[in-house]
Amino acid sequence: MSRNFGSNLGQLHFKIVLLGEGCVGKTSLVLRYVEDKFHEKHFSTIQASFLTKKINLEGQRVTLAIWDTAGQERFHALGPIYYRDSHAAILVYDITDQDSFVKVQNWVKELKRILGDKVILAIVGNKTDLDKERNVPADEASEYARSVGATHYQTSAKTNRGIEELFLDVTQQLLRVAESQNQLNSSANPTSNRNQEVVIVDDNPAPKKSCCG
Amino acid sequence: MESGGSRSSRPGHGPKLHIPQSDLICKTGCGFFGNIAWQGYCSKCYKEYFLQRQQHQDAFAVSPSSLISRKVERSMSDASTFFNKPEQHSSTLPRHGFSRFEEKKRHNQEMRTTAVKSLFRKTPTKGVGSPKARDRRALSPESHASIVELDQFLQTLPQNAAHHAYSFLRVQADKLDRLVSSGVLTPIEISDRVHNIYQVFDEKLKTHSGFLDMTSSSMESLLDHSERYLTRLLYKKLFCPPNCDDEERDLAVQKRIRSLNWISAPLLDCRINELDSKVRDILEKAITHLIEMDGQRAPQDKLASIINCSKLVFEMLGLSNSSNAHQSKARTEECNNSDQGQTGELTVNDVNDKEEPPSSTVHNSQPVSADDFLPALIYVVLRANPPRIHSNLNFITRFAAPGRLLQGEGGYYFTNLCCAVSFLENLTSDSLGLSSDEFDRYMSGKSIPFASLQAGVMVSEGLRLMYQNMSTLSELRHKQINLQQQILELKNDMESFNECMSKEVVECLQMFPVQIRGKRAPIKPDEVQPEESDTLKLLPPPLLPHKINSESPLPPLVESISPNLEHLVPASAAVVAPVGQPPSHKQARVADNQQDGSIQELDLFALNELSINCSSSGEPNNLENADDDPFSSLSLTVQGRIIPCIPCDNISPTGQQPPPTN
Repeated sequence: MSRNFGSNLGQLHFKIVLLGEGCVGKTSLVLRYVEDKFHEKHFSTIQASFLTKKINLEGQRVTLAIWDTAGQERFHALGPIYYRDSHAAILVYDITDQDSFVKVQNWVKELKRILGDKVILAIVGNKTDLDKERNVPADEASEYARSVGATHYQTSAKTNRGIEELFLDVTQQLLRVAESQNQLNSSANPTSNRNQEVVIVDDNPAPKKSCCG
Repeated sequence: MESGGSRSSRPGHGPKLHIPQSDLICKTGCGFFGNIAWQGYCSKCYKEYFLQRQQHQDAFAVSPSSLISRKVERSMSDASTFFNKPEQHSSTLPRHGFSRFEEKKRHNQEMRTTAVKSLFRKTPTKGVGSPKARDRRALSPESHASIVELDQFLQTLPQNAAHHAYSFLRVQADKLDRLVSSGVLTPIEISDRVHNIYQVFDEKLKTHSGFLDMTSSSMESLLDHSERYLTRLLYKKLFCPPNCDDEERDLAVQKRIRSLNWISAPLLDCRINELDSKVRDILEKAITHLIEMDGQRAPQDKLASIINCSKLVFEMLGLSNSSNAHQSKARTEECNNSDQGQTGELTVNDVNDKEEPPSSTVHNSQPVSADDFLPALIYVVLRANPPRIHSNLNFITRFAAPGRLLQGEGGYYFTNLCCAVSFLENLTSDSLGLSSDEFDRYMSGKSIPFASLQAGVMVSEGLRLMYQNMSTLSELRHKQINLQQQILELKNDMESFNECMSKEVVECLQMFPVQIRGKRAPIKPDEVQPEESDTLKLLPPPLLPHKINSESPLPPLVESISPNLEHLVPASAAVVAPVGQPPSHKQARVADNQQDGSIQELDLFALNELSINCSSSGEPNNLENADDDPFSSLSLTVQGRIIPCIPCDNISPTGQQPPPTN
């Protein structure tokens, strides 16, 4: 089972991957959630690409591992390596930037193709504090989210709006999936069938070994 | 094919090289010519010698010192594992094939011996965690160390649990060893088996009665140790197994990275300020960690190396952040577009564009995010060119415990490293924002991007040092100019202050002109002749020192005067001459004389008057104006009254006393 929802010593671990174009505020979003900080100007040495948050939800201890990804176009092809085995994907766009929303739509297609329908998708319009410069209508975005089975959220990392709700909601969805998975697992014995061998996309098949000597 | 060539061609070459023919002949004396590359053997004898040495090495494992030196060698230079690169490409395949064959042969041999020995092993292990002598003999020091380590750990556990764990792991390790050695399993199958062992062991820990008295934390570390034990014990067989193409892939990646060595940090959009020596130190440390990964055996140790490397990358980015914060550019409007097309316009010709390496500054105020981290990591991989990177990544994927890569930062950084390697493998001109023409030119080594030159990627250490010194010098020059400016400013300030002050002084002088009085000649009353001036005539005659006897009646004097005094002067002001009233001539004199410091004269007066008073009490004053000035007598009495109390030479000048309030 590549996507392992099983609990480890009574604790649930979820991997959440953050996708989105550069500068849409992925990093600010997760920093705001995990550390309640917003770095507008001041310099800080802390890293913000891998963060964990422990929460207690419905009596269950949950650890969220939030993976930030490089948003540059040139790294787009590396996406599958990042979101492999992730339980949820948070797709962030900038409400003032139509292009970033188009990027999100591409990500959704790709995720659906590679991870299937089971992955939990959250589409997040960030920077609602810049509402007067909005270029992506909220209805259009939520309409699109509904059509692909994702949930749409509006947040502002700067004013700390909607972020707690976003992560809480995603975690609740994760818990629900984990529960149903556990029920499935208890009825059918899970086989450890790992298909995650390929780390680096392998184009050419292994040549047959010949014995020489 | 090698042997044939050497035999036929050598004889003709011998005399030309001025080497005695006897030296060229194979060391074993087989009659054929030897070769230095084969350590003086002919090809055939060298093959035999090589085989023997290999077996020898396997039997009595490599000495620790040579192991360390090998590790050091690896960290010193990325190419050291592939040091003889030019001729290697020609001879890679046959040689690898050769050694692999040997390995297989050896495995088969081992299998046979283990099969025999397994007959004896069926009996349960006698003591907890006492590795058999057999292991010690046949294993490399690393594998042996793994046994010792497990042993040590097991001793900290309850005996029952340790016993169960040990026997389980032993059995599994032997089984796995046999399976792997048979060479029938593909790497994926081996990986599945290993994971199966982890899972079974995990479940056993939770359910088996032997492990009931263990805490969850010690269970976790037991799992950790078992993983370490298995992978280290069988490292040679699990790492880069002969029946996969890992080795070829390793070489391909290695070659690829080497051919990409012209890529500089700015070209990758990576904000490392390489000219900063501190940043470069960290970069080198990060590279060392990455190369060290190959030397580690257990997956968790390899992951730890990756984590260390990544941490250093973050540190480096943070440092670069602060160091080029001053050249930061607002980049918000650029964010809307993709990052492509901004880099790479520098070629060898663009020497003028020195000040601003393109896109070396990207939103500096942010904490280090994945957008910055990945390019930096790619750059580190590029510079490190870690040995056997592909095999290492595959090893970790195959044999790390499943949780390790799914959760935790180790998994995240590992994924990033995979991304970095994958990016470099699939790098095209597009991903660098170069035209394909440019890209080809750089790849073929016909030209070098200027940014690479500047960053010192392509140049020797000396040139890099020169660049660094140049930047230091320019910094110093900047500071010097600053200092000079400040000196000038200070000078100006001082001058203007000087001017201002002198102006003020002049103004003050004008407002309050100085009146210079001529020096007052000291007047010595004793020498003044009465006829010299009228005022002097008013003065009492000089007073001679007069000895006052103890029986001389002073109190009567005071008593006799006091009724006269009391209604005029308050008692407290008794010492003082009543300045408020018109002073007597005598007092005026005193005041004037004070400035000349003539206290003695005052004393003289006082005594004078005292004597007058004393001698002429009740008698009419011999001064003419005594009657005109009612205060003269008063002042006289006042002074006279005080004298007996104060020694003569201590009398303070009367003029300095505060005047009476009334």
